[in-house]
Amino acid sequence: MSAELTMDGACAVAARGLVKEYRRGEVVERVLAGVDLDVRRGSFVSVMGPSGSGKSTLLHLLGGLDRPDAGEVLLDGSPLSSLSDEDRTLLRRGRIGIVYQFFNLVPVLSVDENIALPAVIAGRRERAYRGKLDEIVELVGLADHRTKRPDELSGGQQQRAAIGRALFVEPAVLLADEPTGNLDFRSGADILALFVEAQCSLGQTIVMVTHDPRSAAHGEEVLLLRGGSMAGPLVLNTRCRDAARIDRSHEARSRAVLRWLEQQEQLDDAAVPRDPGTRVQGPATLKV
Amino acid sequence: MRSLSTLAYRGLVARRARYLLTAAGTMLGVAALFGVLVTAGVTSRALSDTVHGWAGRADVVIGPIGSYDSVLPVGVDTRVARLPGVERTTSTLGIRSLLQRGLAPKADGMPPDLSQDQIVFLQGVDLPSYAPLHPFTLVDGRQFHPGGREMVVTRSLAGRMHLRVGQMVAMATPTGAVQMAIAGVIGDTGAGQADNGGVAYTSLPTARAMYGRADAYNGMDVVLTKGTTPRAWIDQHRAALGDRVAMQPASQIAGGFRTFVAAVNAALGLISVIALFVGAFLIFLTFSLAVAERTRLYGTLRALGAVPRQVRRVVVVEAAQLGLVSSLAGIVLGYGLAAAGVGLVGSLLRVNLPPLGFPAGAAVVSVLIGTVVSVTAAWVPARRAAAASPVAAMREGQAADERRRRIWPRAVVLTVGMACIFSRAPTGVRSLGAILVLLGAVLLVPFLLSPLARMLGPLTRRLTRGVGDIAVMHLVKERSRSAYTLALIMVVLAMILAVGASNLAMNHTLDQVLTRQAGSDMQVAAPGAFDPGVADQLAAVKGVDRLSPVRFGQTDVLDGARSTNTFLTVIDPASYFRVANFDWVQGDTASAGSALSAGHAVLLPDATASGMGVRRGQRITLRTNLGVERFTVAGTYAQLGNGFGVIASTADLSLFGSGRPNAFLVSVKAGAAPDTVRKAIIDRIGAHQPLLVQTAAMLRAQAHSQLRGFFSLAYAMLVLAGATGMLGLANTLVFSVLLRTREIGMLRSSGAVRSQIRGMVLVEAATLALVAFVLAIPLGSLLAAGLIAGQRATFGFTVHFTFPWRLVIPVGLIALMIAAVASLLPARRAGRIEVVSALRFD
Repeated sequence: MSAELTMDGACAVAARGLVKEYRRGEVVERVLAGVDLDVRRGSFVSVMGPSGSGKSTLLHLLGGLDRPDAGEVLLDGSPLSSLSDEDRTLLRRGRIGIVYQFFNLVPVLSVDENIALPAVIAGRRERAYRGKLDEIVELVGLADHRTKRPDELSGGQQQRAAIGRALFVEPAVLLADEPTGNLDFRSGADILALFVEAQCSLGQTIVMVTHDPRSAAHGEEVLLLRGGSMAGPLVLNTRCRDAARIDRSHEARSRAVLRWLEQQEQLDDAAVPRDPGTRVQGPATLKV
Repeated sequence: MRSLSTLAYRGLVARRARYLLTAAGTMLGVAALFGVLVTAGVTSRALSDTVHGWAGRADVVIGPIGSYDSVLPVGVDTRVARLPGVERTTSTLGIRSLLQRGLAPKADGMPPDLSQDQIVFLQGVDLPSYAPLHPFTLVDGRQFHPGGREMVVTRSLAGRMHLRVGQMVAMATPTGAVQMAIAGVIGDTGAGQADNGGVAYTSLPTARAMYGRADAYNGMDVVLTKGTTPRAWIDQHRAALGDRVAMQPASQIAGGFRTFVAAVNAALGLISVIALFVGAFLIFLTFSLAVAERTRLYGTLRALGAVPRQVRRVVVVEAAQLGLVSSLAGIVLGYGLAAAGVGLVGSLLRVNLPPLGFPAGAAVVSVLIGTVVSVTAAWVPARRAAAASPVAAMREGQAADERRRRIWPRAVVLTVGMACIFSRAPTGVRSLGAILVLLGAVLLVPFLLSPLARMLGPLTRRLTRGVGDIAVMHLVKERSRSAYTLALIMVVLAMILAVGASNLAMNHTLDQVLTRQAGSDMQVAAPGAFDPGVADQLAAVKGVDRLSPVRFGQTDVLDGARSTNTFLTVIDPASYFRVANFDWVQGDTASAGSALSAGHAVLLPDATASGMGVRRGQRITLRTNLGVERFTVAGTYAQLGNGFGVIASTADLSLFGSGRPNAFLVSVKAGAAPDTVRKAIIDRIGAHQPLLVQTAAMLRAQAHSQLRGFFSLAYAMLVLAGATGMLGLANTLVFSVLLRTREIGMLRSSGAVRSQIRGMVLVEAATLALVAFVLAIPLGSLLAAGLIAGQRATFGFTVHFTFPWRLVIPVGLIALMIAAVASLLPARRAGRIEVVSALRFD
């Protein structure tokens, strides 16, 4: 499939034929070799892959933090990659939220101030965003910690504050880079549940990069990035169903993800040639 | 939070312990600047007071051409008063006298104590015409009566000599010692400011009686009508008054003091600029470290939508806040420095300087400059922060500095600086050259650190067993951070070497000049002029071998339309060169002596000749008692300070005044001790002829003391710069420890003991200091050569540069000391890091 700069109107973000190379001395490493991606509005997509597979690079490009060497990213239908640095920066203010593995909170600001930071950057007055701030603080469960500094919070609480900051701008897409990578199991589970809640209650579109199948199983779809190209999706069909039912089926979903990953590995071992820019295998669907 | 600038303030407060070191550096720089401004203000006021003290409200001052005991021609006062543009005049007769306080034997029968005698300028004035120009403020007693044997003294003179109203003292005059009563004491303002307070006033008739001539006067003060320019008035009426009078604008008197004050202020100014440069460098270093440390924060801000301008502003505001607070603290410290500096300059210039006061304008300027310098120094790090990629927000650890650097622009800066230093350009350009040389050297350091660290590391790594190599390895791989710290130390060491080398070279040259210029074993000087017959009396003193009389005065050097009043010395060429000599620049003793003996020949200070563009063999025009005359330049010499000025010959004595010598240069017989001969002269002649006898050793000590005083200012500033360098190194080491916390945890978990970790920090410090020392030697030598080349205008003689071998080891030891002291706190912190928390450190 050629990389056409069109996307389904139901997509929040899409990528067409993304290529990204890094030069390290004399060696040129092609991290992304023509990746296509469509993320529907309100969906929760997990992108998996081994270390060095380009997951974070893909996230950088989707968030307008970096430019591809070829291809395009479309955000709500508008090309992103061809914008100037200043325009991409302004776009990030209001359209893209990012959650990092290491939280990246500003140590000298309180929880409230960290969450409202995008508004301060945009020059908005406090009374204009006070209501929204209260809502987000409630959503992320930090109402009792509003005046605390990051070093007074646990890892989980810090990541909640970081999620609050990302949600504050009502982004077209929320990008999460290994959000549970620095957290213990319980805290990580809480964070992922918060993502699901944001998706269900706010209709938030989420793209999460992870190497953990259990984390990936919280999403609706799982994609696999290997060798610079994308495989999948594995569709899990968990969209905002009965939460209790989702919880009970989480183990099954996690196993399903693992199995699928193993299948992908076997395909690689069999050296099935891939057409760069296409999905390797059609969607696998897991009904739960 | 209203804006991102809040981050600046919060960041400052959060890291206040670390910024304290940086603030101290800025504080020292601003302190140096404010101290210099205050000191310069005081010395300028002293100059103004001196000028004002002599000139008062006068616009033009008139004096006789020739020797100091010359008088103005009869009728000049009347002619001047009738000239157009003259509002009022007053005539005076000044006598350089010796005030002898101890008149009578003491109560216990011991002889009077002559050690209390002091040279005083006794000014005879016509009070009704003099007082409107030079106000008197009586603080005790009363004004003198016209014609009476009484006088008033200044409060400072009365204080120094413990004089009181009603006391009788003896004043040495051309007609002999005269007893005078002290009628009153005047305040140290107006008339009391003349001669830095070393003046006494009596009536004009009284002074004329002391002088021995009823119509004598040797000074006129002229007040011009409003709108009349002094220089234009002089040029207009010069011809009418003839060539036997010297006229100059009142603002131009005290030329020697003026030149020296300008030189001292210029030197202080340069030193303060360098102190500020070092302080600014510390700011640059600190903010470079801070930006590197906060790469992820700036990347996050960019990822959240902050444009580069906003990120840059965060850093700039932080620097401005730090600069402002540090500058305010610097004002307080600077005031203390100024107090010390003023004391030192006062002893250097041998004047009582006015009180410091508190110059609010200088304080505001210093704070503004300190803040602006801080912002400027943080500009490059701020731009780097603004350029942080939003992708950096994703990364763990610090962003590597992958920018390519080009060496040639930095080399150009260094080369341009060197060209400026060694050019014949004005002091300002050469000072700029010094800054460019320092800047160029600093910019080249990143290219030199790795190879030098690799070369010198084997020496320093032995300071700690096992892990010393790691510290050296980090330096070899590190570019920016350690390189700029090293550059700071290099600049400080280079300045120490440069000032030290200048000091050594100038002391050596001073000795040579003194030996050649003075040459005689002692100088015997009179407050005014010697009585006839003193020469025979001196020759008869046991131990005296030869003497040569010297006469002092003034003349005008005419260069086209320009007339410059200058010091004049008249020597007897037949005897002078048997007792003393000159430090020849052009010419030699034989040809000069021969030319002077023939007459209509002069010697010039080489600086004066250069300024006029005149060489040996050419002719210059001088104003004499018999009109304008042309003289051949028989040679030029290196003059020490104000020195002898224009040297004329007794063959032309009739052109330059009355003829009584003011001093004798004396050589003693072989085997005679100068101190013994000095005492014999004082005992034999001092009882009836006021005189001042100084041996060559005393003159040499005086000259060296002045030079020492001059350099002590420079060394004081260098101590400040050294402290700043130490702070910079400590700052970098603290940051290094912070960055390598996890590495330290790993080393400790692998078996390294705390003392080895502390040693690792010491190795890093020692390696940096050693590399800085190696680079400081050529840089310091370059700066020294440039500094020395510029000293001619200040000191009047040419100094020759020689490599300062004697200073290499002391400067090396200073480098190691800086390393040791700077590494104390960081090493202690590194040694105390707990393994577990270090391994978890992010």
